[in-house]
Amino acid sequence: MALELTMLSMVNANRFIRVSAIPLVIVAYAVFLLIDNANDFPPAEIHMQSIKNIGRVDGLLFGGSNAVYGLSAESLSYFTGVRWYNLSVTNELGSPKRYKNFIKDFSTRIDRMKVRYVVYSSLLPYEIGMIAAFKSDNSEKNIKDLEIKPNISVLQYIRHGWQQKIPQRRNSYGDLVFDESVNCDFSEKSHAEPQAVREDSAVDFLVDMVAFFTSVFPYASIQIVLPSEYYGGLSFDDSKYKQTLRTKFYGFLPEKYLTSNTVKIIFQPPFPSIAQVCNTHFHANEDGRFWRTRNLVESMSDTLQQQISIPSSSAAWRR
Amino acid sequence: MILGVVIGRALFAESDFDRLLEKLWFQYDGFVVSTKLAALTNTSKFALLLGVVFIVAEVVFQKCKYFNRRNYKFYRIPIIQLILLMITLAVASDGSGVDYAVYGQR
Repeated sequence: MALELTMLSMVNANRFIRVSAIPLVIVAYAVFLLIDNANDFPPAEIHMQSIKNIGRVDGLLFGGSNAVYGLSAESLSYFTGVRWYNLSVTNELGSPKRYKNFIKDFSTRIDRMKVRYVVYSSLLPYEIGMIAAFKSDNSEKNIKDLEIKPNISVLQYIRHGWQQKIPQRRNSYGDLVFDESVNCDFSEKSHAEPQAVREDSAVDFLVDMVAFFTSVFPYASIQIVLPSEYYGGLSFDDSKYKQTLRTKFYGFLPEKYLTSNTVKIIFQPPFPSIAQVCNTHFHANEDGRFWRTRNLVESMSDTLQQQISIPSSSAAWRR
Repeated sequence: MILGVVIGRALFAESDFDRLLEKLWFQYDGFVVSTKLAALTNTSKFALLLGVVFIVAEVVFQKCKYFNRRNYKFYRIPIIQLILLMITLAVASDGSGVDYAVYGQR
């Protein structure tokens, strides 16, 4: 009798879990996703609002979060004497199609024929599998559509509350403002493991992006930038990879770009110090951003037609 | 037949060709692996730990009534399913699991 009762209660418990508990957890998660999505302010919209006040733009910065954190249109404007705007967005909006549509949309709101410099800084050639993942997302969905994964996990919400949802701010140049919304907590133990994808995949991807940028900004010189990362104490000789990638990149470029000298690939050096890194190995903090931007200007010196002035430190620039 | 199963499993271990080649290269890094593991995100470390716990539990508790003659079916018990579902939903975020094949995850 007791055994029968135990069995019965087990069956009831199992039935309760299947019929009530599991669906309840799923519904609760769906509600959490809705709240998470409602609090999310798409980065693309920040730029679309800024565009109203921009006026003429001579140079544009594109790319993912490495460029959001690590490149400054304001510094570039100061160094080069022409107006730059930082149009980079985290994760490049998740797919090339979506990011290209965003750039096309943006270009209709400025005089794209007057854009003279385009910098595209992407980490994808350094991330194994990311180019394929990036290309595989061919969905036409709007960035506001509900995703099945939240921006921040439930566990992180429980640990940190809603403070992480403070929206990041951009200044009038489109640069990230390093304020309380940016939590730079990078530690030595979480430095990057250097890796490099097969050159052919990277070259295909980069040449395709060059073709796209030249079609949208026909009078601009295109700078393809492979950004800095922080490798900690690891010694990593990637010169062979970079040389092969450089050779293949120029080899695959159509003749017209080579003769007009409008396209260049730039490999930025690794961050020399952890003091220049923000919250992951490819996100610079404010000093790291100045260092990367300064290095970019030096690499672009033959392209830039203006007289450039490069102060030795971010403090000197701020003065 | 046996060779076909082995090759098939190897091929379907990855959805991305570049990453598949990286895996099939079987590069041995020695103790560098500890540095690589330390560099992983907390979510990845937790996922790895969970995988190890699943397998170790099968071995350690093989004579326990919930595991005995139930190869991996322990994880189909409703209460365990509920716990696994809650763990999965608690740690899922936009930055986790790009497009890894199910076999790759296993």
